[in-house]
Amino acid sequence: MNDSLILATAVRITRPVLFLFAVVLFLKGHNAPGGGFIAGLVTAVAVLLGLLVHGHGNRKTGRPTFLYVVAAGLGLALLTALAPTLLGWPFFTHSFGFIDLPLLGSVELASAALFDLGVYVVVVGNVVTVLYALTERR
Amino acid sequence: MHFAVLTVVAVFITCGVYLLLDRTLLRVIIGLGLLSNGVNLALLASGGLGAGAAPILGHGSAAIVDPLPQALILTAIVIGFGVTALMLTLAFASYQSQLSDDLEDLHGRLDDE
Amino acid sequence: MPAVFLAAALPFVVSPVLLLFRRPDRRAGLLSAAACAGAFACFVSVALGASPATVALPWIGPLGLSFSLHADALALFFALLITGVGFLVAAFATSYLDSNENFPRFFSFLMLFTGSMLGVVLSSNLMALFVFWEMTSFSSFLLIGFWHHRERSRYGALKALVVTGGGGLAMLLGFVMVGIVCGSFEIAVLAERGALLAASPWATPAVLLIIAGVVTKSAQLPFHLWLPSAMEAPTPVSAFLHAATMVKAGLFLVARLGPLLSVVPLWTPTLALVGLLTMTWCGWLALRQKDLKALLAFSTVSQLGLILVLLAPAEPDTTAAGLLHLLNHACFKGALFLLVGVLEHELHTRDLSLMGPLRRNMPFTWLLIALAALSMAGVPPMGGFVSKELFLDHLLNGHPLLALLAVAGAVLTAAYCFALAAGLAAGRRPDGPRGQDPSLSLLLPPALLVAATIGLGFFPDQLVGAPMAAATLAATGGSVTGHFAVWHGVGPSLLASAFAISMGLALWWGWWQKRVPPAPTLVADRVYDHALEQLEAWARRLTASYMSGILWRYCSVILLTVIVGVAVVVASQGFVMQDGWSSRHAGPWDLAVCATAILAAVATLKARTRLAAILALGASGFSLALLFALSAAPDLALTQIMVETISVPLFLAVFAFLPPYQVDRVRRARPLHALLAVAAGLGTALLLAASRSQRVAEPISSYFVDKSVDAAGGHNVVNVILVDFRGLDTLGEITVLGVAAIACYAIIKLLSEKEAGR
Repeated sequence: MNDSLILATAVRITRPVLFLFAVVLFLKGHNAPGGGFIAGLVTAVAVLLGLLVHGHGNRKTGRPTFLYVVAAGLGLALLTALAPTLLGWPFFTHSFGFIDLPLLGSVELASAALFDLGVYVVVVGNVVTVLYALTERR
Repeated sequence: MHFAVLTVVAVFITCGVYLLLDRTLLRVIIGLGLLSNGVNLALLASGGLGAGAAPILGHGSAAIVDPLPQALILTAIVIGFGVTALMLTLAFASYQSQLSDDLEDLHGRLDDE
Repeated sequence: MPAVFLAAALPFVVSPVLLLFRRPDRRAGLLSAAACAGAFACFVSVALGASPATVALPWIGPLGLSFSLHADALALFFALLITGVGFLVAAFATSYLDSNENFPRFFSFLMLFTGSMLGVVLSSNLMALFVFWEMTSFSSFLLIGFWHHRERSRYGALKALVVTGGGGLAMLLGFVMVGIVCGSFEIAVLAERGALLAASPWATPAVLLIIAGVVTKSAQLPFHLWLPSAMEAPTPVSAFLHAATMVKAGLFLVARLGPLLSVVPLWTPTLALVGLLTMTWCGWLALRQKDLKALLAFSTVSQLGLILVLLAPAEPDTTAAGLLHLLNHACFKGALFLLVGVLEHELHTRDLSLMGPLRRNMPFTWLLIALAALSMAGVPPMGGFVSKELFLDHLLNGHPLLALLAVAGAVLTAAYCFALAAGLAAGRRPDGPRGQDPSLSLLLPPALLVAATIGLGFFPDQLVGAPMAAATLAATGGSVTGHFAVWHGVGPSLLASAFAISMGLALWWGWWQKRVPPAPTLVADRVYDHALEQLEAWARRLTASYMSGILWRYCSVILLTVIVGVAVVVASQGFVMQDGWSSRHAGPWDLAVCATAILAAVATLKARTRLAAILALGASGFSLALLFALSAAPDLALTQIMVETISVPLFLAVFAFLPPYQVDRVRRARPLHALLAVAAGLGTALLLAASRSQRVAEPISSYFVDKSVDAAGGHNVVNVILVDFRGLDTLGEITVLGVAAIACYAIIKLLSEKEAGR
């Protein structure tokens, strides 16, 4: 799988672009097309490309590393949903506000974005777990 | 537009169901994929296929399309991926242990235990 | 917090905490004993009037169900009995169980039972009572099966659960009938509505169903079969659940609901007859047992029958006598079980015919056994004598045949009690196993119970006269006319007692001594075993008849059901397809993409190689993405593209391992499948076309669009719906994704481990 120089070069250029694209999609998601699901999938595509070129390398197989990623994402989403109950608000109450930062101007801070981050992490963890599980060579 | 989309829905679901009833494991999985594609399109059509902008607010006062089916479909696509991945894993595992992808070879009965 | 609630909740709180202890930690037992003592103290404070007796919590409002505890005198009597015996048993078990037993689990189950049993007696609502009732069955199942590696334990546990759980369900049905007829599930309200029940045609079935619950729980004929099998439980459990408390739940229910249900003419005679027959027949069975625990089990069933006879009429005097005997029985039978446990612990056998001379080897143990057995036999001046006198008194005033049965039961009881006490004194085998009296920690709990039953003989009225009168008042609403006394003067009952004791002595000396008869197998046992076997075979056949294991059959059945169901609805409602569509005009790009999608879908059917089929599926997915993009759904288009990008390589990765692709393994037409497929596809499209004209409410989408910016601070409505408005759905969906990832990982991991092991 790793004998194509053209593919390897193409991936070396494409991967950082994809990662950056994922970041942009995630940050823009609340106001433009994008969000946790899509950004997660784009990140997963970047991981897949690496897998196509480099194979599993010397990564130790059989470790549930990315299941921990899934768990972390689920935990983050759940905590975001639960946090308002500590303040006496109903489950899943989101809040948002705007702060002014130098250079960037008005930036929105939303607790929904934290929840979306959880979604993003779960999607990445899920796809990567599946990819590694199914492409392993025994 | 709606006639064309409904035709696509009908064809997707027909082909998907036919493949789902096959006895080759991979064709069953492909059928399931096709079926969920058809259902996703049906959901979109149920929200109406009228003219309108994408459901992003703040770009003028143009009418936008119904956003709710889109939200439903978005998660359905991702869940569909999870299902497909799980089915593929099962196909892989059952072939590895039973050396067959024919569902009529693979079936287990209550009496076989 | 009211003391009643605290006491009832304490065992449930302690139960999970106990599981935190390490396995061989005896402190788990001490904590349980402390919990029982604490609950006991709370109930005492309630009994002394220092704390309110009623706690109410709303439960399921729309159904008119509230969860409330009401500790009247009857409930308090039982609650004190449960926590008091519970304390002694927990203390006993702490030093009784071998140090390698799983202490946390044992005591956790024991506390679960204690809490459930308290719930049964304290509930003021029939539905809550039922829930706790079934929980006692369940915890009894766990405790009988505590030594789950033994086949007999599992058998006994299952049998107890099937019989008592089944009876409980019958009882639930009866409760529902009573509740609907009388318009309430509150016991206090029901007590005043007996007339409504009496006038209803549902009264007889309801009463019969509730009787089914009572006789299964209290192991009366013909459901006495489960109690002897339950003796596989550790002995402290037998003492606590299967002698002192749980089997008395049925009796409690009779006392509690007696005033209401005795308006139905069937109630009292049925229960009295069942009780009397059980008392005599199981007394006979007890006499023929060699296994000490089996003897005690049958004797328990027999004694429960006696108490049932007394409680059945729901009259003050008999009820008071019944409650007194219930208390006596808890004391002497609890003690006997604990002492048999001591014997088994020391001598490693429970077989009466293998015992050595106990009076010489273990004098204190033997003395306690003898005293308890004398009380059970009804020998004056023990506690058992007082209540048995009242029982005979009640029966001798009734029908002569019933009186004869009662006296016969008393004779048999006396006979097996003498066999027990005297049989152990000398021992059948002078060379039998020898043991020593155990430590004080094992002897003290049974000794206290024996002391109680002796005390009840000498000072019955002084000790429990007032509480019994109060409990009777709470149960029946009437006052007791007489009072308890060991000496009533010479009367028919005293003569009957003397006759029973002397005949029992004669029966033991003249017959039992000569020849220990073989232990019979129960007819009920054979019926149960056969029925269970048949049921399993039938269930297996039934399941095998539709679980073919072939996927397309399942799918066909599901599809056919849906298609026929929808067709029936459509046919009955009529199919209106008005022009509810405001769809935009299809441009050339739209038509081209739709045509591609259709071609791709058909190609998946026709593909001759696996690669072609996978690529065709990918093509259909990508054309769907284009369709999304054309329909003003950029989020969907992006998602679909990404998913297809990942899926196609995944398919290819798996397909490398699969055998050559076969389109049709057997070249045969599949018209049924084609028909189903076309019906599904066409049906969906038609329903969709009709659905646009069937709007009955304004879509909720406009709300989301209106509020998106103001309430959620986002302009992308799709994303706002996902993470904010419908966040809980999304949380569920990512949970599914997590589970799918775990499943994929686990399957592959198992597979590679299996290969590595091969």
